[in-house]
Amino acid sequence: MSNVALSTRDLKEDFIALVEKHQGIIYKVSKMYCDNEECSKDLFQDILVQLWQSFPSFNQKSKFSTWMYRVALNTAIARFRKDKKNTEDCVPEMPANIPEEDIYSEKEARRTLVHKAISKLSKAEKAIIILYMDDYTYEEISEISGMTLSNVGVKISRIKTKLQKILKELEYGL
Amino acid sequence: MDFNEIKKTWKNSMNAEPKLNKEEIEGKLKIHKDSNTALNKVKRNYLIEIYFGGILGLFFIFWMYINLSDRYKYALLIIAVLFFGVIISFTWRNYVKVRKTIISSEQLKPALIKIIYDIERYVDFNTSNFSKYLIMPFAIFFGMVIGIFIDAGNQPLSEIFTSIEVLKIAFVLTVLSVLFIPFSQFMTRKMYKQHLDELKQCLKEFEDMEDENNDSL
Repeated sequence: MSNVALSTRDLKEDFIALVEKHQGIIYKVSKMYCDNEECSKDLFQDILVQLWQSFPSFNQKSKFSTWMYRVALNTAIARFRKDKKNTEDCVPEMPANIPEEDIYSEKEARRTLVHKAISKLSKAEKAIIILYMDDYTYEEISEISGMTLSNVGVKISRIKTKLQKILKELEYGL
Repeated sequence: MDFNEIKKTWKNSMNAEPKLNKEEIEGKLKIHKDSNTALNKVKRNYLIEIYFGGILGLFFIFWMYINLSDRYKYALLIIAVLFFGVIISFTWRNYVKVRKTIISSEQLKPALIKIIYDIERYVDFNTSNFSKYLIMPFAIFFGMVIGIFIDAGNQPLSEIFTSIEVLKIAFVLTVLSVLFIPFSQFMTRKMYKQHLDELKQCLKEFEDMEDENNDSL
C-alpha cells in the first residue's frame, strides 16, 4: 500500500475518532438550525461531509471542538432551505395549559417550547447563543464568531432577553 | 422560565440524542449525498455547464464537419472551436477559483463574506454583459449561420447573404435573444437571489450587532 493511501487512512481514522468524541456539536447545530427530523438528519450529514473535506486544513492552532463549531455553523448558515414553509410550522403547537393526562410530560413540553423559541431567533443569533448555552466563554465565542469580546457580551445579554420574551409569548399564547 | 432553565432544558434535550459509533460515522461518510450548501450547488452548476458545453461543442463541431461544404468548412470549424473553447475555458477558470473554496473554518463573519463573494461571482458571470450581449446572441447567430451555410452548399458568400437573408437573420436573432436571454437571467436569479439575500441579511446582522454595540459603548 502506498504512503499516500496509508496517510489518508490514518487521517480518516483520526477524524472519525475526533468526530465520535465531539459529535454532540453536530447534533446541537443540526437541532438548532432545523425544526424537523428530516432537515436535521440532512444537515448532520452535510456538516459531517464538510468537516471531512475541511479536515486537512485543521491546523491544531485551535481546539478541535472550536474548529468543529466553526465549520458546523458555517455549513448551517450557508445552507439552502429546502422548504421555507416547513421551518416555522413543524414544531408541534403547545397548548397553554397542559392537562396531566396529556401525552406530553412537563419536561417534553418545556423542550418543545424551548426549541420553538430558539427557532424564532435569526441565523446569527442562533450561532451566538448555541455557543453560550454550550458553556463556551466569551473569549471562545469571540474567537469562533469573529466578533469583539465586548460585542459578544452585549449581544448575548440581548439574545437572552429576546429568548425569554419569546418564551413568555409562547407560554401565554400571545 | 429564566435563562438557566432554558439552558438546562436545551442541554437535556441534546443529551437524549443517540450517539453514533465509529462504524456508523464512517458509514455516513460513505453515503454519497449531494450537499445542500450554496457553495456546493455553485460548484455543481459550473461542472454541469462545463460538461454540457463540452458535449454540445463536440456534437456541434462533428455535425458541422459532416455537413458543411469544403469551401467554408475549415474557417467555420475554427470559429466554432474558438467559440466553445473560450466559453468552456472561461467557465473552467471560474470553477477552479471556486473549487478550492471549501466551507470555511474561518470565523463566521469572514466565512460568510467569502461564501457571498463566491455565489455572487457565479451569478455575475451568468448575468454579465459578456454573457448577455455577447455569448448568447453570438451562439444563436452562429447556429443560424451554420444552418444557412449547410443549406447553401458551395454557393459564393454574395449569393448566400442577400439583403433579405440578412434581414431574416437579424429578425430571428432579435426575437430569440429577447425570449431566451431574459429567461436564462431570470432562472439564475431565481435560483440564487433569495439565498444570497438570506446570507446578506445574516452578514448584516453580524455587522449590525457590532455597530449597535459600538454605538452603545
